[in-house]
Amino acid sequence: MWRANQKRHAILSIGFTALAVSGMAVAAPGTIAQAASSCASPNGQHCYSEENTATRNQGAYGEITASCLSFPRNSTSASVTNEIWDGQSNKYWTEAGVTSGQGGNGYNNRRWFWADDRPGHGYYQHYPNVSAAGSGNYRVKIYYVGKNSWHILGGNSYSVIGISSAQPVGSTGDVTGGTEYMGAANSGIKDRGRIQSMEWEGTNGAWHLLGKSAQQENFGPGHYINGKYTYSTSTETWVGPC
Amino acid sequence: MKRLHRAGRSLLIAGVIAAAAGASVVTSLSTAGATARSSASGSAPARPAVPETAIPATVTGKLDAVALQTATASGDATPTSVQAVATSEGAAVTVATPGDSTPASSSETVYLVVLKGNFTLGNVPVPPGASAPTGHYLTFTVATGSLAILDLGLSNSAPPAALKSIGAVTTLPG
Repeated sequence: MWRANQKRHAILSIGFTALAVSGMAVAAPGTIAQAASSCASPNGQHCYSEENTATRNQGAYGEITASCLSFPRNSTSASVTNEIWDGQSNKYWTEAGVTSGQGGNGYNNRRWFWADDRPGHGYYQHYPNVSAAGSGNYRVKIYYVGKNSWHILGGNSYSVIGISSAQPVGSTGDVTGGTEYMGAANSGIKDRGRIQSMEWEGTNGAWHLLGKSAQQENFGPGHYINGKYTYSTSTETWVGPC
Repeated sequence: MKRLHRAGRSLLIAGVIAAAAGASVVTSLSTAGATARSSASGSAPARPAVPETAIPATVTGKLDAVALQTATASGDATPTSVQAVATSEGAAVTVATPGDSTPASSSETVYLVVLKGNFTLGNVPVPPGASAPTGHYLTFTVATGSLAILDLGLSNSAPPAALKSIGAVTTLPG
């Protein structure tokens, strides 16, 4: 998945039409046209505005400011997140952040969550019993603690909200931060915020700002939220409906 | 193949509904085999307490509704089986999301629901470029008071432990 993603990233610079016919695209051109009005799809064709760097790593860190983050309760299938992802070996990942809208668990409003997909397992998602996020600046971190285990720090008090085990550090990896949205521009979605001070942890334990190594991307079928990446502060900022 | 599967599923559901006949089928089983939840370090944690009681009859209807809503939202409105237990959250996550845990996981009682079917989670967050998760075993834990889902898993593999090992199994109509 992540390898395909990286190939797709390269194609993005050529243009969305080229992407659609490349075979790496998530849908055929006709499908893209059909889905262009929604950014929501039952097969996971979501939209994103994010910063990303491909590097072997054993951790990801970012500071989430969800200035506007909500989704109407009347939707049965769409949501929006502000979050970070830590990818391993091009196909496994752990993610953590704040979500609003309809999730696998029902309706959420600025709720903290984390999820993972690990070797030999499926997709697991968790909604820790912590207070909903406000509009402040919240730290979130996914990092390796040894013995194939990872800790997820987050919540308003920046504490351990999850433990993911049986996932070794891969030979390749990705660190990503931004927003993922699954609703049309006229759906009532509100999504405006930033993730600043994005960092990745090397396998020697040293943390690095993404800086110039990261690229900024806006994509998905009918994406309409455009972000901006400021490498001097490793900050992804996006301005959607609010 | 799909059509045959659906037909078989309908027969199974009919059988389950007939068996339920307005009341949940509750099977009381020994809890002696309760499994302890794993920890990040791999050390053996204290075994979570396992409730001895079955899911109250006053709750099974509501829990079944939650299960059906979740199944429908996950792409399969007619799962082939729906089973649930009341157990500690610590024990439940070892079945629902094996390998994952939350610090709050404890001896607090939750309901664990396991559905079998063909599911796709199209509305859950995934990394850029990832496909929607799919699988045959949809599992989730539910807070006993609010019936809010706390943990959710989707896998092609059956849960690593039998439900009867962590509580008294209730078969929901589904």
